[in-house]
Amino acid sequence: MSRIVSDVKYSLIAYFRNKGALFWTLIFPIILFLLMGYLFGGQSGPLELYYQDSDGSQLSHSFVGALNQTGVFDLRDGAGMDLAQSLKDGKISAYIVIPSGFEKSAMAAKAGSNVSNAGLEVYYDKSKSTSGIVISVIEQVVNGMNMALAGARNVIPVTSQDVTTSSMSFVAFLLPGIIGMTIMSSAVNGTVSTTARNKATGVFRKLATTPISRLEWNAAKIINQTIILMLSISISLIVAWLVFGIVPNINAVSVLMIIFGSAVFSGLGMLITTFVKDVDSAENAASAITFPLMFVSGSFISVDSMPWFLRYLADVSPLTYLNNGLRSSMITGNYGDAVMNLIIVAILGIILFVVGVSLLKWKED
Amino acid sequence: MTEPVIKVDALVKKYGNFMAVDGISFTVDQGEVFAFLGPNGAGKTTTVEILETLRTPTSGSVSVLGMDIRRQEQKIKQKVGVMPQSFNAFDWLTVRENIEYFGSMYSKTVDIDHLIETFGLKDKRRELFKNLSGGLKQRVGIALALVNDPDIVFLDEPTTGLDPRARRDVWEAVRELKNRGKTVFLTTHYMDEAYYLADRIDVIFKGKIVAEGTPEDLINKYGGGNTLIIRDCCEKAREQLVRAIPGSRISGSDILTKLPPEDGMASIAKAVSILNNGDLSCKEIYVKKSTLEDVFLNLTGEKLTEEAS
Repeated sequence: MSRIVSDVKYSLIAYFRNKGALFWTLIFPIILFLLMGYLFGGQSGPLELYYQDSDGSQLSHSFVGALNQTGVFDLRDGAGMDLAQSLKDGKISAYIVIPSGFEKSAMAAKAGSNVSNAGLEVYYDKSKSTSGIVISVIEQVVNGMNMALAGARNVIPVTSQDVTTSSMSFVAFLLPGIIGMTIMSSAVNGTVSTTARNKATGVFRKLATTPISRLEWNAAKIINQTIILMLSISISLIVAWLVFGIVPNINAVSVLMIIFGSAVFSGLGMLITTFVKDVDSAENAASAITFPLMFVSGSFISVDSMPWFLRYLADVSPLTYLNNGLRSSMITGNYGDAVMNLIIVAILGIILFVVGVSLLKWKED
Repeated sequence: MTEPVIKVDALVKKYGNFMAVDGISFTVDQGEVFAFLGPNGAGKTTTVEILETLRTPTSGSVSVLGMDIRRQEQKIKQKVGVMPQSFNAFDWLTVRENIEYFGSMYSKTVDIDHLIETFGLKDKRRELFKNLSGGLKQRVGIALALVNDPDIVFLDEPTTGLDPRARRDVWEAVRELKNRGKTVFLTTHYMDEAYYLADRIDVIFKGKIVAEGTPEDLINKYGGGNTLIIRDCCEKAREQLVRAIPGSRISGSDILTKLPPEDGMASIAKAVSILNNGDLSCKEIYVKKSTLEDVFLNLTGEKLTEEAS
């Protein structure tokens, strides 16, 4: 045990001296988070939504009021504006048109008549990451109004609070993805780099002559990795809170996700160095594996919005389960889903770590 | 007489069909500096790594400090110190931190400040390992090999790749080990290193031990004798000397005479008396001793791949 403590202590000392390692594990995730948050998340506050109310009725006012109450939108009256052109020009991401006769049509529909058909028209730019949120929230508001107009009981209530959480802002979606990506790249690249270099420079040969076992050494590396990740994640969380006002839940499940995630990707790193001996080739192999995984595993983009063949890739990527588990435990509060993903990540972590430790040799027979 | 601290009997190590170590046997006594001398690929490192418990022998018996290397690996590791070939430590730790780190791996540790002082590392103790010169790195390596106060210290090619000055530094460090009464197992392909440091040498070639003894014994036995050299002689001197000294021959303006091991002095005395009588001129006269290089050449018919500097 004292050997593990000692290894963790000196590994941390060495880590804090290595500016390259500090940048990639502590600074780079924040830069990526901020860049992607600002570039693709638009604003962190309410989404800008233009509307043109050509009906000017009580119902159209109620509808606009209902949209406003969700807190998701910053509603802007687009009366007199050429919103179609603004959308084409990329100046706005979505707008809604309440046509003339909207109330009349709705009342007729309520009475069971089908005479007029003046429904809402929503226009949006599919390329904008916020479009999905806009559509989703509008649909939920419309559903709520339909139910109210039809006098139906609110069997499945949709409150504005629920709407905001389930259709979380892109930045809130991104945060666990960035954490998952950090766990993967830090664990894989850290393990590959340390292992391949220690092999190449002969440090392993020296370690093999001392009483420390490979299990102790690798356990120390997982602990070391987890401490660094906790630090990196804490900084990301502080930035998320300060810049975007996001306060995720930190709980036992999310902490366990980080520990087992670290085991999964450290194990993967050990496997890479088992099969690719040369330092540069091993580091390239690590990048070649982790880079695509970042994009197909729901770190930055929802897996559901990806083409079918990429969804298959996502299904076999351990990062998908890590991201899902982190998102469920930290953001959406879906603990059933979080625990399910945690079980998958834990099993994978134990298997990969054990296989990695047994295959990775310090010395040749 | 005390038991040898290393006993190797009929040791064989094969890699596939390649016989790296071919049935060698030897012993090492407590407190001696024992050298394994041979060219690259002779089987030195394979043998020493078996003794260090890093490799498993194909067959044969090996005991270190009375313990079987196959069954008592952990106990042996606690009692030996190793500087592996092409030694490296952690780049981002200082000299002192590296010594502390490796010290923490053992149940027994020597006083680290004393160790640092002994090997002249006091001024460099706060220096990162990656910033040290090759010679200093090797000195750290030797200090690390001593951090657990081992009974046996294994040094595998400790000066390979170092400049002559750095090699001398390492030699002094090894001498220091001997002064402390440590048993040192050294592998080297440098003749001068083996000659300067070793009490006893085993010459290993193609996996087999071809000779064993003290450096002087080996030279006397396999060196082919000493050579009397009389340089820059005039023609008359050359003629008289060749005629008078048995076994002598002319080489350019020099006279070379292979001295018989038992009667070398007679040839030298004869040469001096000839040169003292009459007007013969020669520039200098001296005896060139055989070296371990000659031993190796005579035993194997090959030169060592790398010349000692």
